[in-house]
Amino acid sequence: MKAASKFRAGAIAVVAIAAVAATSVLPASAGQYDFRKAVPGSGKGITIGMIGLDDAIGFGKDVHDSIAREAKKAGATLVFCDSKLDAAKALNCAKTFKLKKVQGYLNFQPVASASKSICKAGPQVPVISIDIEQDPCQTAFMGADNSFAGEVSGTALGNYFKKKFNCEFDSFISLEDYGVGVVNAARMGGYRTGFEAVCGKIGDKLIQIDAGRLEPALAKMKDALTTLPNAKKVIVVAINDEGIQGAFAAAKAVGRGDDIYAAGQGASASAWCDIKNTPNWIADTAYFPERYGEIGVPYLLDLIKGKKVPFQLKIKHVAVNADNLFTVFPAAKAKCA
Amino acid sequence: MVKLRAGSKVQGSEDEAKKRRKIPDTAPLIGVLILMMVYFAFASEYFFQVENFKNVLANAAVTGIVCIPSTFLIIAGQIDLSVGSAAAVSGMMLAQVVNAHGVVLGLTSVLLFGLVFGVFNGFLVTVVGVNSLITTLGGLGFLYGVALLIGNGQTVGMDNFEWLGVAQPLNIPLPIVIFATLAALGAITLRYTKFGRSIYAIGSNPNAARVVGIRSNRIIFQTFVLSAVASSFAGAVLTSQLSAGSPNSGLGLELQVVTAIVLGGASLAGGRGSIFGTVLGLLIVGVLNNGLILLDVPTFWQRIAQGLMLILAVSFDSIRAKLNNTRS
Repeated sequence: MKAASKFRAGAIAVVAIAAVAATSVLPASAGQYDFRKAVPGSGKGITIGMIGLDDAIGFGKDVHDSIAREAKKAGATLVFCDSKLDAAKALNCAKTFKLKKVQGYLNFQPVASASKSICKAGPQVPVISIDIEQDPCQTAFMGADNSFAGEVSGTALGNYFKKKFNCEFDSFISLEDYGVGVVNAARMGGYRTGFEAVCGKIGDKLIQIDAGRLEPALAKMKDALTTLPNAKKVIVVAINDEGIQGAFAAAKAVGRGDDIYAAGQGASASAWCDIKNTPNWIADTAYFPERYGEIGVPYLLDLIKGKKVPFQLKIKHVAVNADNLFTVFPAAKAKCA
Repeated sequence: MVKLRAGSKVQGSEDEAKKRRKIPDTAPLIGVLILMMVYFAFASEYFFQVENFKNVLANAAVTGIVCIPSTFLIIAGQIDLSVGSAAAVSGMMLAQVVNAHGVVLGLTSVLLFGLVFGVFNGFLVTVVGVNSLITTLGGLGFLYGVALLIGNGQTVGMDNFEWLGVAQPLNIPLPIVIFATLAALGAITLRYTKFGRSIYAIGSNPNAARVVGIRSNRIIFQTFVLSAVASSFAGAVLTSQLSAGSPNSGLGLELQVVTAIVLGGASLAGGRGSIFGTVLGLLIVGVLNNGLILLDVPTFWQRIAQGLMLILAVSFDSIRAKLNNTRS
């Protein structure tokens, strides 16, 4: 039974990473919007719903908390229902929303292809999908812009290498997660686009490894470094922060912490102090899950009130490093100072 | 000669059986269920609505379909941990085949897969002699990989096959009708057929069962086949409800199934359990989950409450047994 639980935990983690990394099929034309604090009283008398990704995942919990915070600020009643990464639970959430007569809802359930059934089971009200398409009922889509997010950190890496090493490097290791399909392609491709725009073609120096989580990154990076015994300028990019944390742990374990130069995705609170204190953590793209509510809530209230809202509501990603971390995330100061 | 009574462990004497009848096995469960329903009815204006009850039952139905043969297995002292992964493979297979070749072939392939996989499990346990926990644990991992492989790690959308999951004959969701029918058949089988009585005998005392001429391996083999077929069918129902097959759709199903069955009074050591108890276990879990959502209880507290409920319910069973012993 213990082994079963362990396996399940692993499986859940894979799904979790997949879901966190989500943004499954992004509409082609990017439309990035500034965060907008909810206006106090703007949601008075309005009941909104949210189908969560999974509160047991940091990213999903941050999104939930920010939406709850903004809904409270607006004076709206929030009915939250956790999908726990399960489309069947999300379907049940939609039925509950119908029962509770929510006037609009945000949907962060992870299975895009189940959205048709979920839309049908839920109330016929405005819906804003978060990171994952919810056809056919989504009125607007908010979330990450994966290609751009990858490009942001790729460019920062390129600029660093141009300035410090005249774009010379030994290897470009890409820690990917093939389980998330197009998201992986968009995000990891974005890194390469950004880096190549500054330093030219990566060519055969590219090494792609399926290691989108802490444990596989830890194990596989050790192996990768073994195959590069004399390399002193190894670039490592990962689909999330965990991958980079695993890569640094692996490099340090084999006494080569100074040989790798990395960039990650997420800039989640759990990575703040590592970004601040690891000199070779060159850049990390911020996704701001803790501010998703500043787009989701005000725009959903607009929709409920019949106002026009753009379909694309994408997050404006920025590259974070040790120098600007406290400016972008003031809360990091207390945590890492 | 071993005397068998459905729904309780063979005690070897009629007197002891009578003592246990003083408080029915399921009485604490019924009490807990009623208390929960009364509480939620007062706490949420939405709880006591027909639509809500339909939601609770429809949600429980998929797990319930798997629970029926799994109850047989647990009473027989066996376990099937591969049910969730089997459901996931079936769902993925159904979506792919329905999209390409239509519903009839889709359903046929799913049931055929269940049959083959059940034979595989049954063969390993009864012929090769591998422990059922190990066999099905391996199956759980193996089939999860197959489910990921079928869709290349992605979910697969499916059109034109909603009726199995969402149709409502006489305004009752079809999965509820299917589950109720299977539960009734399961209860009759366990209580009134030689097959059912043999299951209790095997779980109570495998050696004695063999001595009295019960073909244990054959019964266990058949029960594994039933379990795999039911899991496959449950996967098809779930996929129909969602209009999509997902490799992760069966994640955790085996634990839900075991929870409902154990909550319903079955012993993991075998020899004890009933379909009625399993249905009560399912309803307790279903009502609890539903009530907590209706009351907007934070997710982390929901998980704590669900765990505590299991511990409390199982404790009631032990307390009841001790009370009966004290009175005697």
